[in-house]
Amino acid sequence: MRRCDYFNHHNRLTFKTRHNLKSVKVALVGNPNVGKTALINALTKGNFTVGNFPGVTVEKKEGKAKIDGKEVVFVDLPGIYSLQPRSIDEKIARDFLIKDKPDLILNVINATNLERNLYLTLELTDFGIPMIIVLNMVDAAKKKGFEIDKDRLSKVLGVPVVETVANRGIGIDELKREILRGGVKPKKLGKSFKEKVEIAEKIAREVVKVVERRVNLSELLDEVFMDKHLGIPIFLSLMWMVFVFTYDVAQPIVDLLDETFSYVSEIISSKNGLIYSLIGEGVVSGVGSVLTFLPNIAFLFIALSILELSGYMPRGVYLMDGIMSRFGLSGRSIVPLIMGFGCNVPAVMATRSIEDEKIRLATILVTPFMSCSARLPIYVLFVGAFFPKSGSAVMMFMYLLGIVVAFVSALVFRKTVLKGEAEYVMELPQYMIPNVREVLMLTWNRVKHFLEKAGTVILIMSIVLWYIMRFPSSEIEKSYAGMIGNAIRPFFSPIGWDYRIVLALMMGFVAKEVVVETIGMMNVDISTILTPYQALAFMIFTLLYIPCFATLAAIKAEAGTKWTVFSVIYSFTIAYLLAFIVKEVGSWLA
Amino acid sequence: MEIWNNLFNAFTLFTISAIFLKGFIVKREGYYIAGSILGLIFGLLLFLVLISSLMSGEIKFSYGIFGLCTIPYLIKVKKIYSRA
Repeated sequence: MRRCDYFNHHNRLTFKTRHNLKSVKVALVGNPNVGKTALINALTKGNFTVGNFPGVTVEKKEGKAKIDGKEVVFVDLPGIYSLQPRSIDEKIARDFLIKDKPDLILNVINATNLERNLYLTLELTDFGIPMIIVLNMVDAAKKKGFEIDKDRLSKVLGVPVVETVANRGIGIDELKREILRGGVKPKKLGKSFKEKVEIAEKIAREVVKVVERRVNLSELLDEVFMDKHLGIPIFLSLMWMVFVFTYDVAQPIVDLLDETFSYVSEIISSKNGLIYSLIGEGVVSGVGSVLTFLPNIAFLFIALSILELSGYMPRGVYLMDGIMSRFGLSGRSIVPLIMGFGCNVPAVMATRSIEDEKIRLATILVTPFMSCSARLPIYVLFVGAFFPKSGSAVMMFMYLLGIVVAFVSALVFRKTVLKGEAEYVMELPQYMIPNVREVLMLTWNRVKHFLEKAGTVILIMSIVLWYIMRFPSSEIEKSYAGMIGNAIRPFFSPIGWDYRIVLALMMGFVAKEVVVETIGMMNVDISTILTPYQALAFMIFTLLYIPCFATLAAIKAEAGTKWTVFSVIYSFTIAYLLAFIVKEVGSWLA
Repeated sequence: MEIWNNLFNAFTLFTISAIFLKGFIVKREGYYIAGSILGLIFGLLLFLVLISSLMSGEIKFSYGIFGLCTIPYLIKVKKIYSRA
């Protein structure tokens, strides 16, 4: 039967007739982790961040494309299970459909889990907006041994159905043709929640054909990776490999960059004149001291992107389920915690998908303890100076410490100020071999953020630091920088840090990268002013102390001023106490 | 402190061995496949470490590099499962 036979021709009006407007607005709506972002990337040739776990998109994003000369604006809405506005991302999606009234809905459905996805589809039919069903991941469904009768599904729902594999660009041309046709207003099916669930079950039974029961490699691997005895050792082994890749493999490039920046800085600053000093000792030395660690950051992101896109990352954290639920966090807290390894700002925003307000607040407060990429240069600098033979091990220790402090803090919050029960519902994505383009895109999106900071905050700070280090005296101790460091140093005297180290910490409030920048610009040999235990205490302090300004702004936006102040005081206290304990224990051992 | 690096490498090798051992005990192919994938990743990684250490003039060698030996088995598995 031909596709057009299914539709009532009164319902189908192409964009050409319905809209003689300049552009058409198309909303992508679907459950979490069905590939909406991959689809919008394929349609617009964009580079929005994708991930193989639920909840990567927490706010609506727009991408434009020209299809047959017509401008189409695609709006990528957060992944939702229903349109009942329980969490912030569900509210964003619902409000958009009601207030912005898109011209067309692309309802993206995960072909491997049709029944669950159909409930949202039935809710969408209530809006009366023309719709196209995008049956994504059909390759994964076939691998699982079943097929979906798309013609039958199209007839039942009364809308066109297009099969796609978004991350490989399959079916995109057909989808573009359907978009130009403008979709069809769907039939309204079911009124109550119960009716809709029953109809979804019935449709799924009708259209899903089990072709053959195949041995699924994903299931075989899951049995091992989620093994109750081996799961956690495998997770730790993989984490270890990530840090070896980040530190040992990237090191020759880091050394090369370091030598290059030092050479350029020396050449420029050897010339007479204040401007040469500003450029050589200020800008090149300051920005260079941070950019030197770019290879470490890029390598870390490549490794994390592979783990995320392969579908392993949520499993790794899920393995901690037994532990996590005891800490009062929900399954949805996993996404912000994972994202926190990249940057804490989007991680704090990612908490929007958490329905329970108390769990959301607890997650916001502990997310800054996840070691973001800005802290990596500090670890690399310090392990290079104090623990060169065991750099990867010390770095892994820092990341694990961040996770432990986050979990313990969550437990404390959930037992005291944010008391309540935690429910644990987590959907595990399919394993897949990561697409090289997606790995590079995800890595680039994160590295770009680091480079943007180098060109803005870090550049400005290099000029500020140069000024306070040069005036009123070029002797660091008598400069403004020295005065600031010496004024604050008594507060840190129990830990025994030098005023220059204290100054670096203070500057790190702006952005964590500025810690390394300050040390680099002072041209100080840290191995002569710190003992290894003081250095370890410093690394722990920078891991845990006050989140950077951008993260504080995100916390304020998501949780309000009261919790922002609480976050500052709490994190600073924890950082101070742990740093003090490490230094004291180190002194006894020494 | 270098002992920590060796300990973690040894832990990873032990984990991979444990996966194969459990696969042998429970007679499930998934364990052999997962063990081989991890072995291959670890082997590749240590190969990269070896190359980068040669560049800095200090050779870092670990027996985990022999994880690369799992390549033929994994190619065979890939052929079987893409046919299935």
